[in-house]
Amino acid sequence: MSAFVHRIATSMLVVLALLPLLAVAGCWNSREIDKLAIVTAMAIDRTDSGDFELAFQVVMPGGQSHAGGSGTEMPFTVYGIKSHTLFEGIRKASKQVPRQLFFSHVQVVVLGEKLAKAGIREVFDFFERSHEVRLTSMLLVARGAAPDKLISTLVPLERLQASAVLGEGQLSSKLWSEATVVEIDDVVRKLINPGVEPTISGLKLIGKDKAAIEKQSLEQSRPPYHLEVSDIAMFKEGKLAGWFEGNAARGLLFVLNRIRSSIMNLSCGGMPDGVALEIIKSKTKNEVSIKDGQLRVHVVVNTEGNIGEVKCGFPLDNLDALRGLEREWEDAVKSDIQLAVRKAQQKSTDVFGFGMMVQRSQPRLWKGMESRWDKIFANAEVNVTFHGIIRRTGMRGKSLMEERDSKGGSS
Amino acid sequence: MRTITERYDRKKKRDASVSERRTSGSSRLDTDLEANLERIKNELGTSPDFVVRRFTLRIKGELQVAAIYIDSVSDKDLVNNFVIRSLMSPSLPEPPAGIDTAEAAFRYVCDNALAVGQIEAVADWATMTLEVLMGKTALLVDGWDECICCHTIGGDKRAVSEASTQVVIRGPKDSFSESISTNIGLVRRRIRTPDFAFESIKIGSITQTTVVMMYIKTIAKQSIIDEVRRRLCRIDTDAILESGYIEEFIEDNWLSPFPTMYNTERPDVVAANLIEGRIAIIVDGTPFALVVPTVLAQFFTAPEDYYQRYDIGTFIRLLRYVAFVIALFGPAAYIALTTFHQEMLPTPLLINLSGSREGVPFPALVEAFLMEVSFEILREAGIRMPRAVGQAVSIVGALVLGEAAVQAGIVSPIMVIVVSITAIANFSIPSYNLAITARLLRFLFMLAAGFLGFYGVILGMIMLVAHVNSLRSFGVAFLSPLVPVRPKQWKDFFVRLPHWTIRTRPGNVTDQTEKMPAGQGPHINSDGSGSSGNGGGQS
Repeated sequence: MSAFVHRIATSMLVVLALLPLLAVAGCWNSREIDKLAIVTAMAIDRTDSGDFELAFQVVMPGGQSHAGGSGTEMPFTVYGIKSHTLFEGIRKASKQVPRQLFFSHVQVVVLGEKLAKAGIREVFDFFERSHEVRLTSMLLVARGAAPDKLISTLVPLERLQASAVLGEGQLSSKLWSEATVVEIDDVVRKLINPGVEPTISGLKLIGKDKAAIEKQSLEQSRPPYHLEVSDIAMFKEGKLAGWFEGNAARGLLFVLNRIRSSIMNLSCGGMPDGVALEIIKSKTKNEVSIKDGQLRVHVVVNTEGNIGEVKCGFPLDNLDALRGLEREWEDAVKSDIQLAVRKAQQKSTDVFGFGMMVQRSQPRLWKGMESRWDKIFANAEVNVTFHGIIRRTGMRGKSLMEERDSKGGSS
Repeated sequence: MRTITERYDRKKKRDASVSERRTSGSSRLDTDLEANLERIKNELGTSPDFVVRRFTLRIKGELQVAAIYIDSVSDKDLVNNFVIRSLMSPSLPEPPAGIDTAEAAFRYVCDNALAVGQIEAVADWATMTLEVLMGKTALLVDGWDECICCHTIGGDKRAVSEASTQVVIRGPKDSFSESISTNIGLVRRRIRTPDFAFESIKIGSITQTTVVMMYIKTIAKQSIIDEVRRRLCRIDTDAILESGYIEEFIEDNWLSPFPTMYNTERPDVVAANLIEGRIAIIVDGTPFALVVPTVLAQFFTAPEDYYQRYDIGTFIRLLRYVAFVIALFGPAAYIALTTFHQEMLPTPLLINLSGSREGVPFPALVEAFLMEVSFEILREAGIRMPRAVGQAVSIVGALVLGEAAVQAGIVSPIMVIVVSITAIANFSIPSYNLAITARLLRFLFMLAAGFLGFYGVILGMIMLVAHVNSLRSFGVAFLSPLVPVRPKQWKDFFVRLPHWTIRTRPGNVTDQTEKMPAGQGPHINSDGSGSSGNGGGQS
C-alpha cells in the first residue's frame, strides 16, 4: 500500500516539475523558415542630419537556381530605411518587409564612407549587445559609392552579392594579400584597446554603376562594372583617417603578420618588373623598445618564396644571381613596410598595434606614455630585418629567354 | 526434464475441478473399460480426429483393450506400427505363468509389449485427457483403473528453414520452427554438455502450452534462474500462443517502451547467449525464443558480428548505433533546425532550405508528422498486404505519392529525404522490437522539437537516458556495462575485439566469467614459423 502511495507521490512530483515547462512552451521563439527574410548583407551609412541610413540585402528564396526555384527571379532584394538607432531601424523595417528580418546569417556589413569619417564606434554597441546578429560577419568600408548601392549590385557567378564579396575577400587575402577579411569582433577589440587602431578593407564599385542593379547587365557576357575588395582603411579614434593602397597595404599586412601569399615583381637585368616572385610563407615578429622616450620598433620578417615567372634571360641556376634577387626582394619588402609606416605616422594612427606591445611588455612605462602615444608613434624609428629564401624556381630550370640569348651570343 | 511440481499440482487441481464440472465423474479412471470409453466419448467423441481402437489381447484369456488417440496431433506411424501392431502381433512373447489379474496383465503390457520409448502409467482422468490431447496414445485395459500413455506426439510440422527475421550472409542458416522438440534439438546440437539443463512447465489453462527454460547449470547465476522460474510459475492465464505473451507476463517494467527481453529465432544466438550465462525460454508453437537477462547493447548486435572479422563487425556495429540515433532524432533535428535554430545551419544550406520550403503550406512540425505518419501507414500496408500486391503498394506509395506530394508543394523535398533516411536507419537496427521503440519515441521527440526546439529534444533526451538507466532486466542493469561502468566488459560492447582477446564472459549476467586461458592469439614465433602459441598460458 505504501509503495502505491509512494508511486502516486512520485508521479505527482514529476508532473509538478514539468508544469513550469508549459509557461515557456507555446512554441516560444519558433519561426518557420518560410516566414523569415534572411539578411545576407547589411549597409550602414550616415545621413547629413546625423541619422543612420540602413539597407538590408534579403535573399529571395525562389531566386536560388539550385534550390528548386526557376532561377529567373532576382536572387535578392534590398530594403532601405532611415532611423536614429540601428535597433530602431531593424524593427522599423517590418513596415516594408512582409517577413521577419533574420540577421543571424549576415555575411557582410558595409560601412559608408560618410559614416566612417564621422566615426564608427557607435555602430558596434548594437552588434555586441544583440543576440540576433553575429560578430563574425566580414566588415568592409565602401569607397567611392554609397554602401546601399554596393550591396544592391548584381554579380555574376555567385547569386548573392554578399557571398561574392566574401569570396573575393577571402581569396584575395589568401592569394594576393592586399586586403584582408576583417570581422566585426576584430574591429571591436581594436577599438576598445588604447594601443591599437583598427583597419578595414575597402569595397569599390568600378565601372558603370548605374547598370549595377539592372538584371540585364548580368545577361551580358561582360557586365559593365565589377566589385572589388581592395585598399585598407585606417582609423584614428574611430574615424576614417586614410587609405593604404597597393604596396602600402602590403607593407601594412607584412607588419601585421597577415601575409599568406602574394606576388612581388623584381627587376631582371635592365627590366624593372622582369621577375615574378611568389611569397609562399611569411612570418613577422615585432619587437618594441623605448629609449629616452623614443620608440624603436624592430620588424623581423621571415619569408620563403618561389620564382613564378622570368621575363628575361636570368640565370636561375646561378646561386649568386639568386642571392642578388633575394637582396632585391629584401629592398622591395623593406620599402613597402616603410611606406606603410610613413603613411600611418603621417596620420599618427597606430594601426600596427605597437602601443599594445609596449603595454604588454612594459605596462608601467605605458601608463606614462598613453596620453602622448600619438606623438611617440609618429616619431618612432622602425627598422626592418628581412630573411628571405628563394626555395624553388618552378617546373622549368633555365628560362626560354636565357637559351635564346646564349644561342644568339654564340652565333 | 525436471517438472515443476508445485505448479503442476495446482494446475491439476484446477483442471480437475473444471472437468468435474463438465462431466459428472470422478477424477480417477474407472475399472470398467466400457465406462471409461463412454466417458471419453462424451468428452471428445464428436471431433472427427478422435480415434478409439478396440481389440483383444490374448493374454489371460481374452483381455479387452482400447487405444485412444487424436490422429491429427499424434504420429500415426508410431501409433499403428509400434503400439497397436506390437500388441496385436502373434509374436508377442508368451507371458510367464501367473497372469491372472487385470493388474498383472497391465504391468506385463507396460513392461514387455510396447515398442515405444516413453510410456507412463496414469490413473488420473484429467491427466489422461490432457496427455491424449497432446498427442499421446492412451491404452485402457479392462478391469484396471490405470491407463498407459505412450509418447506418440507428432502431427504436421514445418520443416527447419532459413531465418526470416534475422538474416545473415555468413553463419548458420537454420532457424527455429513451431515445434518445441525440434527447437530444443537445434540448440542441443550446438551445446553438448551434461550441464545443459531444461525445466519444462505447462502454462495456460486451456492451451496447456509447454514452456521450457534452458540454461547451463555451471554458468548461469542461480539467483536469476530462480527468479525466472518464479515469474514463470506465477503466470496463471488461459492461453499462451506466442512467446510475446510470456514476455508481457514476466517483464520487469511494463510501462517502458523499451524491450527488456531479447527474442530470436536463431538457435546459434540462443546457444551463444546460453554460454554467456543467460537463460532461454522456448515456447511451444512459436519459432521465437526469449533470452533473459537482456542489456541494451544486445539489441545492437547481430549474429554476423561474430562470424565476420572483428574489424568489420566493429564498424558495422558502430554504424548501427549511428543509425539508431538517426532513427530516433532525424525528423526532430530537422524540425528543431528549421523552426528554432536557423542560425546553426551553414548559410548556403539555410538559403537552400528556404528555397525548397517556399510555398509549403504547413509548419515544419505538421509537415514532418504528415510524412512520418503516411510512411508508417505505407510500411504497415507493405507488411500486411498479400505479397503480389505488396510491390504495387510500395511503388504507388513511395514513388508516386512522394514525388507527387513534392510536385504539388505539400511537402518540401528535404522532408522527403529526412523521412527516407530515418526509415532506412530504422531498418538497419537488427532487432525488430528495438526498431519499433525507436519508431514510437521518434514521434515524441518530434513533438518536443516542434514545441521547444533543441531545448525540448535535450529535455526529452535527459528523460530518456534517466528512464533507460532505471530499467532492469531480471536484476541486471539495462545499460550495463556502460552504467555501472565496467570497462573490462567493453571488449564486446560498442566494438567487438577478436575472440581470443575476450577471455571472460560478461560479468553482469554471470559469476563464472573465466572463459579461456591467456595467450590464445595468433602468434608468430621469432623464427618466423606461425604457431597458435598457447604454450605459456596453459593453466
